Amino acid sequence: MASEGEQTVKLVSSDNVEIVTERKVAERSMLIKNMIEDLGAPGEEPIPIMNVSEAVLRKVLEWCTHHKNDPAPSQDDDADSRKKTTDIEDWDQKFMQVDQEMLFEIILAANYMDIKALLDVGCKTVANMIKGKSPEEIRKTFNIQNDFTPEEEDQIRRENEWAEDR
Amino acid sequence: MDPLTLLPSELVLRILEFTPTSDLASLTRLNRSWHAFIDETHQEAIYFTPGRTDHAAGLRDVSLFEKEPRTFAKYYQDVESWKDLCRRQTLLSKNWDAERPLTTERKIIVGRDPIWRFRPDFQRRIILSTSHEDMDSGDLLWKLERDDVRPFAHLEYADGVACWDCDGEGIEVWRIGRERGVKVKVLEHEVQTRGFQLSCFGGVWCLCVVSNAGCGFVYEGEKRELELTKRMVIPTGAVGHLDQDEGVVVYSLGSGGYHFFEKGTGEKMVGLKPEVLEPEVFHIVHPDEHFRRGTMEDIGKAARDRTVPLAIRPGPLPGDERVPLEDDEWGAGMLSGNLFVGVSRAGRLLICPNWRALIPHTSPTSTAPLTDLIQIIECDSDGSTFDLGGWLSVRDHRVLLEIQDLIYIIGLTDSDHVRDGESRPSFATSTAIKPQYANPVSFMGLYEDCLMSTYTTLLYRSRSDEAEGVVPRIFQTKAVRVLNLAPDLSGHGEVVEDEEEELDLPVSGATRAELFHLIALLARGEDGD
Repeated sequence: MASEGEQTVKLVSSDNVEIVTERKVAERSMLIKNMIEDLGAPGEEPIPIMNVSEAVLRKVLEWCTHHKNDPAPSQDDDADSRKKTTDIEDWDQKFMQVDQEMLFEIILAANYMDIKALLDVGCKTVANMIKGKSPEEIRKTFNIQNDFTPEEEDQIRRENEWAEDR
Repeated sequence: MDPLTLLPSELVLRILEFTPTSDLASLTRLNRSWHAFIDETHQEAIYFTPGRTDHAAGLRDVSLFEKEPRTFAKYYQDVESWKDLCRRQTLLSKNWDAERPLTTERKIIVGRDPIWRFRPDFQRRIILSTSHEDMDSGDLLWKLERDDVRPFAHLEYADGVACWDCDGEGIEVWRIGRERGVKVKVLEHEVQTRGFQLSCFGGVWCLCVVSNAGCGFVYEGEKRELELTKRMVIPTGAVGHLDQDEGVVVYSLGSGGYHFFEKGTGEKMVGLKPEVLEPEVFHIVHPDEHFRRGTMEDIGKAARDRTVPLAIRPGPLPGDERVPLEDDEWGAGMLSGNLFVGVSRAGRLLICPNWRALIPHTSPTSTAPLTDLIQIIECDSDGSTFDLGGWLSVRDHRVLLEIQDLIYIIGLTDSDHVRDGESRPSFATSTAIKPQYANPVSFMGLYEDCLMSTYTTLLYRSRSDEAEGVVPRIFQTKAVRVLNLAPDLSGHGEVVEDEEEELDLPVSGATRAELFHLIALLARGEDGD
């Protein structure tokens, strides 16, 4: 009998593609981990990942493979939320160099599959795309239409002036 | 691609958790949807987040934030929302971080008595000294008789309990309210008191006492009661300065450095001898009078000119031979979490960002060399302000100390280090109406929106106060000076100058001739007494 580390699981993407991966890799996802525990017989029955397409699932599993030996997320991870840094380690930064559509898909998948560390990396990446930019630069970055009149925008700017970096 | 249209609200909120408040200001200007999301639908959730606003963990209702005032200016009064709280806290911390903060000034003089030791109580709105003043009006609330407190008694205060030393070996414990103070008991011990420190930790008052005869005492109790709980054997020669946190007492031993003791066991944890730790050395050159002219001395001072920026440079202080580190004598020392700071007779400020790292075998890498543990800032001191052992105050990565005729406010990094270009700005402010009147401060402290210190000023006794024929006199006296950094919230964060007259002297009853005499005295800088 294979040891736990070498066990494999079958995942099925939303577009019905079967992907076989190491159990340890897949269990970075709390959704999958809980499902395996509920199913009782890992490796036999395929696990449907209903909201995630093949391309995104492969990308997410790439992240999980690189991080498979990270310490398990602890309960008090939320307790250190007081110190929110946007620092991202080098490998994750390169991993996140994808187009915006993929970036948001990864965030949605990490949320659905309950992979907190990946979700944080995704959210930090978006936060870093906003960081220090003027409203016009942010609009350009995300292709957002401004529907304010100049007077309205100026009013809101003045209301929030206190927060600006001087 | 607009994150707001692609992602569910919970995920947008998660992104915003990583977004500094300055970026929120930009995001809310993007378009109507973003503005509605940030400033309407989710405003409370966004600004309630720890890190966005600093508030007690259990607090849910922002209108209760100022229930127990914690600032001199009642800066959080009528706070409207979590966003409003964030705005107020952001503006205040920006002002502290400014090279030349905008300030307002209040001087509190009561009667003709100089103020010696004092402590503010922002909740009860009193300043406790040998007399007790209303914080907001400056009115005298109640008065101790001269016999109640011996001259030059040391005062400690925490949340409604005051302690001062009486003649003999005892310490008096008083309960203090706005209306009156009541003597509760006298704590007697058989050796001479050199110093004591009173704090309150979550409803438990703790008084630590030190004697130079090798004894330390810990008195503790709830409900403002104090009973002896621990006697400690410490080295002899303690200089009388000590500080505590919930579990630790640290005694100053002059040339012997500092000794940390555990309250629970009464055992020594570690000693701190700065000279054996290879400190990284920095220096500050005392701003000379020429540099300060036109700032400290002008009547009608601008709000930004009550402070002078200080530059902290790497390396020892240039110039004269200094007392070698191993011969220096250490006075006041203070704990603030892991940070420990101390001040020496030769004008050295010791900064130990994590004093617990000094304890043998607590660090997993016990082979780590004993370097990088302490930093020292050498200050251009003539030693004149060390007679009382120096005063210190520590708060929010800033250290307050007195050097000659100025109070220094030293800014540190988030990790409590001195780092070129990364530390919070440092600045200085005066301790007297003119440098030549400077006296050592009797007490000073850093608080959320202000620094408070004793301040030497001149008091004028006009003819009408005196019996017929007596010449009017000018006295030197000590007032409480509040240098307030709370910005004015009605405008755009600019401090509005007090309309009060800037001169400290009540001159309304003076004749022309008397006024000229007074101005001449001020101009010459003669001793006024």
